[in-house]
Amino acid sequence: MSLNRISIKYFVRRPETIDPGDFIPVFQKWIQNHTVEGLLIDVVDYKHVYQGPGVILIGHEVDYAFDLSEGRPGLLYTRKRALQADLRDALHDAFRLALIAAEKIESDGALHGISFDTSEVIVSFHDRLLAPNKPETLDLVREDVSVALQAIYGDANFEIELASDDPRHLFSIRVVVPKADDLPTLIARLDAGVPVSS
Amino acid sequence: MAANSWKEILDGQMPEDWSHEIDIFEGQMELRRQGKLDEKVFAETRLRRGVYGQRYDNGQRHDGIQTQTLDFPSGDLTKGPNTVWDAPGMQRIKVPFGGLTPDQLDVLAQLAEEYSDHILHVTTRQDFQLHYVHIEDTPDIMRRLAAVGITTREACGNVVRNVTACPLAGVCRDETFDVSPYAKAMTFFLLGHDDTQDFGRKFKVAFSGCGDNPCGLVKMHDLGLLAKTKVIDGEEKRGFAIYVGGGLGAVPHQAKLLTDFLPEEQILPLSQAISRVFARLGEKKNRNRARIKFLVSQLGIEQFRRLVFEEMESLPEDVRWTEFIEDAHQHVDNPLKSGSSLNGQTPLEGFTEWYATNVYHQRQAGYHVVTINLPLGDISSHQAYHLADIARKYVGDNIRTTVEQNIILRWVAGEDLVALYRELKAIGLGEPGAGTIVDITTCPGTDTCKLGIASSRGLAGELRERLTAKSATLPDAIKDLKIKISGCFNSCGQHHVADIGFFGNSRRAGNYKVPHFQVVLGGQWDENAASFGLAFGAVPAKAVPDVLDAITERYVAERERGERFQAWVSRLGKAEIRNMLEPFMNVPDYEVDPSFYSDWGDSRQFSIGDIGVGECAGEVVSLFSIEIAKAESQIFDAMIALDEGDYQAADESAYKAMLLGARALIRTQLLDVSEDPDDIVQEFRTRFYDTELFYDKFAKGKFGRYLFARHENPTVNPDEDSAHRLIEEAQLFIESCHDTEARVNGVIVA
Ligand code: SF4
Repeated sequence: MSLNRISIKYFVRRPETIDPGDFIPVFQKWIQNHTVEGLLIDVVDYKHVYQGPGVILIGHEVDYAFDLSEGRPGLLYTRKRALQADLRDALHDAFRLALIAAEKIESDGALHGISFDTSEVIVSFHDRLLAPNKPETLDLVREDVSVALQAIYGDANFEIELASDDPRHLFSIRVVVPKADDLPTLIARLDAGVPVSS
Repeated sequence: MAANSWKEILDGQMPEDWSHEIDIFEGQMELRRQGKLDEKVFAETRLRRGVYGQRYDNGQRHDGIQTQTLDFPSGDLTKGPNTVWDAPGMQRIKVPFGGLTPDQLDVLAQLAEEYSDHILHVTTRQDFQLHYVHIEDTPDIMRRLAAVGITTREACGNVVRNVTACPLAGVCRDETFDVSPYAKAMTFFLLGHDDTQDFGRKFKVAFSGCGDNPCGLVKMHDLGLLAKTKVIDGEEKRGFAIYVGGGLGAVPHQAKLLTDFLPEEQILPLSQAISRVFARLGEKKNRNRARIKFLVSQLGIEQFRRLVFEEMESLPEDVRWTEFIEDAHQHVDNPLKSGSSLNGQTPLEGFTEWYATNVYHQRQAGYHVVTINLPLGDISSHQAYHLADIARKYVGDNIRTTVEQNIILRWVAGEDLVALYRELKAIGLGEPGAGTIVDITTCPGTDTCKLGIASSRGLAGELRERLTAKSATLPDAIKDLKIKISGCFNSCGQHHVADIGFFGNSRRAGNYKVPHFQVVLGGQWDENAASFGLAFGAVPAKAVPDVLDAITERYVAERERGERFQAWVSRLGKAEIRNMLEPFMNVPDYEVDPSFYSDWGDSRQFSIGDIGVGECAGEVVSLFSIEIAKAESQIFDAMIALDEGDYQAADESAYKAMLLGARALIRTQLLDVSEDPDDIVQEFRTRFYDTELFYDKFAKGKFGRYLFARHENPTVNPDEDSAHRLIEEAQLFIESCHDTEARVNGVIVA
């Protein structure tokens, strides 16, 4: 299965201690220094919108956002173009870049010790044509998602479920990993592994 | 699994002609990709589908340190002159008179999630906009909209734009009759009409149900229709007062009355006749003089009127002119619930405050209009889904967008108000203050607009946050003031018709550029935008909150009983207002407060200069600063004269101000220029105009031509209107002198 747009969201711990406005200079710096892969274009400030998309670093292939939706702030990585044709590879790549971005945020002194909770992740597929939000779509992607998750989380158990049962919403799955490793460990495991489709 | 394409899946759900048009557009995209369609032709084609450019789409962006080239994979492929194919753009979506259904709202939310940034933005023309959209996605966006009855056709480009109307039409206590069916009829009559395809510029139409309230703003439109009735042969007839040639833009024009009563069956042929005259005689080459207001001005209203009515006589009969009228008379909205009262319900915390500002009692007993106060016109996709559900539960299809960038729910039964408030509040849409000072209107500014100079949205967000924080203690006198902000002189944020307006510009301080806003006071929103404010001087963007405090505190302290803001501004007088602003005009040195050198909501340095100031340049800069200050004080004299009703003196002072500005510029190159106006104009023309040094990137030589026009054709018997206009032009001319000097002396990077 080939999908055009995928997003991955990791939530932050202690969100009440974070000022979303702090992400504006951080993302501007990412543009100046080409901190993450891909063509980075601009920073958009939507923090005035209640539980909205927060602060977004708009790119050509990827957007990074400190996303406030549903009242659960987190890093939202959205791959919009140039995805790998194979879903497993696309997921693998998306997770890798999302985790790398999360690690860069954690290590940025301007964000005052922010940290991400790796035990829960939301994966969304922004393509209602190919991936309508219904249980059958979950059945179709479950295996690919599981393989991608094993490459990240190793042997840890994880649960996968539909994030919303509203058919209007994006097809999104919630992954819960009760005993998840921290970010550096997850990234190291991904880097050490081989592409999941090979 | 799902179908292969949206085209396939939506086949049969879209109106056939709309579907065909979208296919054609997709074909044109392919031709452009193959290099078989000229980029200029494609650009206009694309604009007529609502696919608009966005900031940085020329492939360059200043990151605060240097200009970065944005290397899009599409390489040299463009979607218009200087517009890279792959660069994100904006999709404008027309919503005629703001009428919207829950199903449409759902689809808009889905599109925002899949193709944009999860935000639906409501514009000052009751449209929606999606930003950061890739052109390749636009045909599917259009198809999905067409399947729920929305077209993007002619949302941008030199065509008839979204027809707007009072959002309260049909439920308003003051209206003459419901203008909604007329706005709808005109929308679809003019959409794609043969006679509207050859304009030199855009054409904006608005309907209003009455003359007193501001909702329709007919006097600032190319064509404004104001509902009226008249007894003819003992029978009450519906019709409209017709206004033409109004507009904001860099130099605002009040519309002229074309006729004070036109029977309803003649509004469509009249609009067609106006379109024909505009297409035939309107300026085509110089886009800065191509709006119909210039044609009306040039011909004079009498001549324009004669041409239009002659044209109307010659039009071939069209059944569409009248076939909507019976429906228009029978048109009624369908409320979902029976009307009822609020009585006896326990108010929730915050309800009373919200009720006072966001609830309007409809003419129909037991029903209310609820305004959802959207910050900066933005609503998230999640909020939109919830709002669609709320609408389905309480009002059905009775949703509208407003020109103040809000959304309203109409036909809310009184007994539902408390529950509705609770549900809106739960999704962050229960903010009070609709239509008050916190409900600030703003254009996109530097966030996404290619022409933006300063961050109008950043400033609006900051002011909104500060005002909201102290809303409980704001004096009543200022609660209902209107603040409107534009990112540049073009006035898309409608700053001319605000009590307190701001428009972005920039000034030089030392070797840096500093974001500034001109302070525009005394515009009138009421009576359909009856008069325009005047600019009193530019203050640094970071000083604007303090400026706002100073103005409002003084108004509260000094106003006479019942005195409106506009009246107070005129009583205070221009000199005193200028005195009040002056302390805020200074920019602290960069080393003292670098925050002044970046804009609101944007941490980048506004501009940096690789200075290298030589002695000569330093002196020239200093000389220019002194001389341009003379031009600024001359313009101020013009404003005083205008205030005193001495239009001749106002006109002459404004002209002199331009001469002084031009001379200041010339003296950066030729110190020995005389003070003879002919010499100044001649030198200015050869040194700055013919060389295109005095060119604005987008307005081109327009501002320079203001000087030539007044020099060559002195105003005969200037009146208030012409003097006011010349002052506006002189201000823009002087702004342009600042820009040119900064550019020519090579110290500005951004
Ligand atoms: S007023 Fe200026 S900055 Fe604002 S949208 Fe219009 S052109 Fe752009």
